[in-house]
Amino acid sequence: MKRIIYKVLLGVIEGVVFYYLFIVLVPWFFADVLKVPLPEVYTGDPARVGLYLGVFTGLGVLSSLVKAPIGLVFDVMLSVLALSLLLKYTGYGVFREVMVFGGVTVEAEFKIVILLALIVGFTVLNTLMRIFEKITSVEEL
Amino acid sequence: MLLYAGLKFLVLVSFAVLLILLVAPLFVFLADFLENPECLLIRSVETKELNETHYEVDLEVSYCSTIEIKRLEMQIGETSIVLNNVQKGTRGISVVLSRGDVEQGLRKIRLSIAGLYELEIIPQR
Repeated sequence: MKRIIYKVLLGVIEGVVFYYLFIVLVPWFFADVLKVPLPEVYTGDPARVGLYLGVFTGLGVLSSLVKAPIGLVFDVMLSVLALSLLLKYTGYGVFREVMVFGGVTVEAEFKIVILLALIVGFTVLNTLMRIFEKITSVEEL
Repeated sequence: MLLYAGLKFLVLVSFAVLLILLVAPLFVFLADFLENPECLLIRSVETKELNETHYEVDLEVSYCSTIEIKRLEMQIGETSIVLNNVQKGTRGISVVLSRGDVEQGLRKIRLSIAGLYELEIIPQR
């Protein structure tokens, strides 16, 4: 019983970390620190926060509770969902805005695809490492 | 298992280093532009008429940021002018433009920030 509670807690933490990292922290970093105009602002209304947190923690708990190989599917789903929402809220790394530049109205297009590619690449690598860890822990048992 | 833990640590450190290396030039460039909106200024200094159809235009490009622009492309009318490795300071260039190009003026500026990020600016008419 203790083990199950521990795994559920671990899954909830994993889900909440994924939510904050991909849906809140990275878009906030782009919008507020780098001052790039995001195409779709994540408003964080209660319904949306509840939905995302529910799905993320649900997947986190399932990936933590269900043993490999079926549990690995939830791990992959968690990463894919987090990445697809991140890409959605950061406009796939391409930002467009009409602004006044030196007294002239201009249309600016800004591409920071390389930065997103690094985040996507690292997330994929991290997911593969998590899968490897789970497979080896099953084999050891 | 120790080897795997070392590999995992190496991946994490590589990610952090790469992230800093990628974000730092963008951060400095945007900070310079927010501080001085006229950080990149392109202006014509002198226009000489070569013949009935063409002009020789002396352009002055001044740039204020320490982050190098690897490629600066300016489209004036139908003519595209490319400057590589634009650094902080003022640089003068002389270009031959047709009468139509001069009448249309600057249509597009495209710059590659440190060779990593692309910015395209199209003046609205």
